[in-house]
Amino acid sequence: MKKSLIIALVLLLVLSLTGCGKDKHDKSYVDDKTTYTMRFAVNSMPTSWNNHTYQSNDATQVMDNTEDALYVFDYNATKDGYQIVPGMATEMPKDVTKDYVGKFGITEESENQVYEITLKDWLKYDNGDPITANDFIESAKRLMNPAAANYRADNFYAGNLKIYNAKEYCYSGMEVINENATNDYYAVEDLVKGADGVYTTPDGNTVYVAVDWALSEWLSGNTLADYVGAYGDAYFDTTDWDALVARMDADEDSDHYGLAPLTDETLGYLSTTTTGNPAWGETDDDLPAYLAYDYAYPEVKWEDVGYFAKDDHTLVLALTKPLTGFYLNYALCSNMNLVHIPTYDACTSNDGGVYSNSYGTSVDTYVGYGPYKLTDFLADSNMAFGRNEFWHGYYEEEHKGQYQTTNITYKQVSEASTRLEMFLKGELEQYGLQKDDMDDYQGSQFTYFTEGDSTWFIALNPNEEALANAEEAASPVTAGNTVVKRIICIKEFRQALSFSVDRAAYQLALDPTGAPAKALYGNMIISDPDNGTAYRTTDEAKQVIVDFWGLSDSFGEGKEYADIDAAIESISGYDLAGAKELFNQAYDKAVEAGYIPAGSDAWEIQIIIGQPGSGSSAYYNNGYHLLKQVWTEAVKGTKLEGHMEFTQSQPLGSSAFSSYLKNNSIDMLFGVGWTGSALDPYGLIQAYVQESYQYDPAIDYTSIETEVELDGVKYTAPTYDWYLALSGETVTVKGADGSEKEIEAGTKAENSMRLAILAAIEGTVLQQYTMIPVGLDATAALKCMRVNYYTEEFVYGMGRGGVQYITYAMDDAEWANYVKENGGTLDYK
Amino acid sequence: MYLFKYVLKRIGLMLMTFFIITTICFVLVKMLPSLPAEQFGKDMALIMQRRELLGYNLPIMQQYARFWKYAFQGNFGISEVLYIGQDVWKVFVQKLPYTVAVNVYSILVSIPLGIGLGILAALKKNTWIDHFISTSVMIVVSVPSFIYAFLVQYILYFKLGWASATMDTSMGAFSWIGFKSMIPAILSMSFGTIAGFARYTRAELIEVLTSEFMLLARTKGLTKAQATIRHAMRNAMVPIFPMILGEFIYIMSGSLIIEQMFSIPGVGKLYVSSIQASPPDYNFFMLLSSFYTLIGLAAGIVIDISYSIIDPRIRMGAK
Repeated sequence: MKKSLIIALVLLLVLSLTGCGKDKHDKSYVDDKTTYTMRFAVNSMPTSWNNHTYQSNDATQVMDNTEDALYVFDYNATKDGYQIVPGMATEMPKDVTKDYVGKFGITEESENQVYEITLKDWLKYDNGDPITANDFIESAKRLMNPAAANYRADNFYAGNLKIYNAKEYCYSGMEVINENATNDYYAVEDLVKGADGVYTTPDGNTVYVAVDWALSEWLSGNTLADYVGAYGDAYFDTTDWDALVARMDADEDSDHYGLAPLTDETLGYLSTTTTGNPAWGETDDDLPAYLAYDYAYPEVKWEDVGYFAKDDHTLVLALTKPLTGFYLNYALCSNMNLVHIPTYDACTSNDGGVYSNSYGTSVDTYVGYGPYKLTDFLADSNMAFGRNEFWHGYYEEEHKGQYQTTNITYKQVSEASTRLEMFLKGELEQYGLQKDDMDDYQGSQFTYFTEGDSTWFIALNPNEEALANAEEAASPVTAGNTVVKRIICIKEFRQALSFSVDRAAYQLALDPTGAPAKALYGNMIISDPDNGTAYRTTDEAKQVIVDFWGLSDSFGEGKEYADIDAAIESISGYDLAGAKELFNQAYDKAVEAGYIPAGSDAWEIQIIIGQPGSGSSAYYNNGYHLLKQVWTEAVKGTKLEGHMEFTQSQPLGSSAFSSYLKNNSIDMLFGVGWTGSALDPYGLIQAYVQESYQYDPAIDYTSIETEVELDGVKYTAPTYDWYLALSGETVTVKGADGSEKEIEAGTKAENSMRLAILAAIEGTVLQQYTMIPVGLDATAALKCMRVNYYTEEFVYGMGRGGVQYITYAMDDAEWANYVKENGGTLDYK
Repeated sequence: MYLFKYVLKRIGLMLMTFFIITTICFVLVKMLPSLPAEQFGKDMALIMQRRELLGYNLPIMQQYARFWKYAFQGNFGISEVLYIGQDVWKVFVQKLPYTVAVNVYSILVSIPLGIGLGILAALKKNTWIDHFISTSVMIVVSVPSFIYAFLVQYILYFKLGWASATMDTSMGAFSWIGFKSMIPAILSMSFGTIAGFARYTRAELIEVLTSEFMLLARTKGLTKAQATIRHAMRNAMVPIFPMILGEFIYIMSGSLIIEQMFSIPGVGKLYVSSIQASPPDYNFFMLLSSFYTLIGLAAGIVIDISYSIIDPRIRMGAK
């Protein structure tokens, strides 16, 4: 009896424990007694949301609702900031680097390079299929399929999260051209001369002289032709230069454009060019740095990639570079490109020998795993989502009370006026205000402003030689006039252009929801992501602004402004008198430099303003006319009066418009800039200082010095080197006392040091007046009366709560009645 | 026999023209700048590799040969930009019914109305009815269709609440719900067509009504109505019928503005989008270029032949 009782008790205990486990994730906390539909009208809808290939941001309209991530952003305890918490994972990543010594390039000294992530064991796709660690791995394998060259395959190696061998697997069999200096660095004597006189690597790959081919290591992303073109005989012996250029592949569509096969002859030409003039300071030992060679990546097995499933619920990631703290967690705020394998495979085709995949293009070709499930989709028309009853979050107590929204619908409505009409008739939960709406709704209690993370610039590229060529090729507006463009190379001219623009008026006219910009980065850029500190609130960033606008000595006790904030607040960017003075100075310098013919009145400064986009755009059209008027007025009473001629370019396309400025086919762009990377301004600064990204590649940041004060000592180094330090490389900087110091300021460095370097680089870039900050992007939207946001203030990463936290004052039926009772049209003014 | 030979000759010429046009289209679109710009944080080698796999680096004529090789097998390829991963023909065919629906409804409304108004105006020439119709026609012809679209939507949807703002596609293109929700779009498209037919019919009918054979018909003892219906209408229809035929032939051409305004997921925007995309969506562009070129050329032949059917005096191909 006693034995039976004990057995019964044990059984009861086991059952109850098992039962508890089951109950914990079998009980849904969703309350679906009534319907709350979130209805959106959008200008454009996604056509594909395959997370391996999508290119348009529209895809997030689906993925944000139907997919999930290992880790997710959530409000912090005080609801004024964010924190990263487990999503599909059970806990934060566990560092297991030491367990993998000898594998994946891990050594005894390695740290923060291998992580284990445990997945929740109640994860399911929206069709009820369980999600296991192997699904993640199989998804990644398909993502990085070398035969597919999927657009998103670089997710596993191009950002901070660099999975061991991921790039190599992606590149398996791919034929590329390698820069010698960044790869095997073959010496000339290592190379093999073929029967045709062309050198090859010991593996038999053809070797080239990089004539007009960017060398990232040796020339910081520039080409030898750039340097020879810019400095000519001052630094090079150009005797054989033309002969060398004649040997290069001149077909711009060719993969080998700018490369000349390496022969004794071309090697000799290269040697003469780079070593013939002592001013360049190189010897024949440096010649290999100018070489490149064909390379076919070897086949890498998937098993050698540092991403695998340890068991059904444990993922292991081995990284090529250490990553820890916020940046690790942030990089893992990702679904790791998880797809539903059977559906994905069924969507694969090889028509015409080309791999393609139609996953994520319709309800039938897609299986999600987020809080909502796609239930209806018609391209360019509408789509609808209902609750995904299998989503893990609905079975977790911490989500109780969240996700009140039961359905989400999207309708493509191209005309903003139609969207507004629909909103006023109660058919939408949100309406994005347009410029023309601002008079009516700017002051509405339902209007919410959201600042973006982009700064819009006026960009100029002062390439003297290219501008001189453009002058020769240009036709004057007034017959007989000399066309002047090189005045753009005079800093005072660029400064004058900047000071002439009243940024507040500019924003009001073109983008009333935005705000004037005073520096490279706006207010939404986070410099310390661990605690969410906004870069612009730091002392270093504030100092950059007052230095740039000449207010360094204007604040403090007894001065014009009480403190630095007041000084910054006073900046409008507009100083017409100062601009006029600078225009006169620019004229004098232009005459002295021979850009403007002295003593003649027959000249005109021709500025071609580029028009990004594929068609007519109100922003760029109105902006062109505004700037033309502003600058035409600004030069009145100066020596440039009557000599400014502006023209607008044809639409330059949506992606390659910057190339027209880079090659000086146009003279100026406005309303351009860089977006994203709000949490990594240290990485984003690369866009401003690296030639391949720069709008203004004529500005060579490898030669422009920047001074940074660290621990009370001032250090100087080329600006680009400071960026390299921020990216984690060790660079040598010179102290004010002549000493040298090696600095590495990557993600593991003290944030104060990174901040000081970032601010100094920002100051240097601003001082060039080639990227002139004008506006900060922002949006304004009307919120439906029945919707309640979780926080009135916008919190980075969380917005105002999103669909997770939004609540409704009325359900759909009540709302329909309310609208009807109010005459069918609501007043939001 | 004359007609048969004529048709054969025209078909031969059509195929030659078709080949020339598509060749020009292919070469020109491939000559457009298509290299992607450097993107921050993006591995451009991957993008270049995809281009390589797609054959974009092959000589243009080799690509062209490849295009026809697969096109003859009914395979126009996969969209690489606009509808990534999807068969361009399937996407086109999926969207076509919506364009056809709005065009057919519009034609069915506008042709009888336009011809009716034209006849009325002609028969009541120089009366207030004629003046009213002619003035209205002039106004309608002078105002671009998107203005009506805005007005129709504002009045019928926003102010009166009689119609929906956009098309309801839940039951398909040819459903009753679809038709009801398309009424503002149909009206907006019809105004111009009604006006065009009314003006043309009026002018043709007036010309015929004042012809000598009409006088002869009346003197033979026919009533005005009999003479008008039996003789005037038939003769006036000779140039009008090809117009009607043309309207039906072009029902597959989408209206960019109307479709966009009323959220009709038709083909109206495809052509422009395919070439404006960066890089252009070559497969879409070539499919649409080929399709519409063929339709246009075939329409020309059909309309020409229709003349001889309506009016036996016109003998195509006869010397």
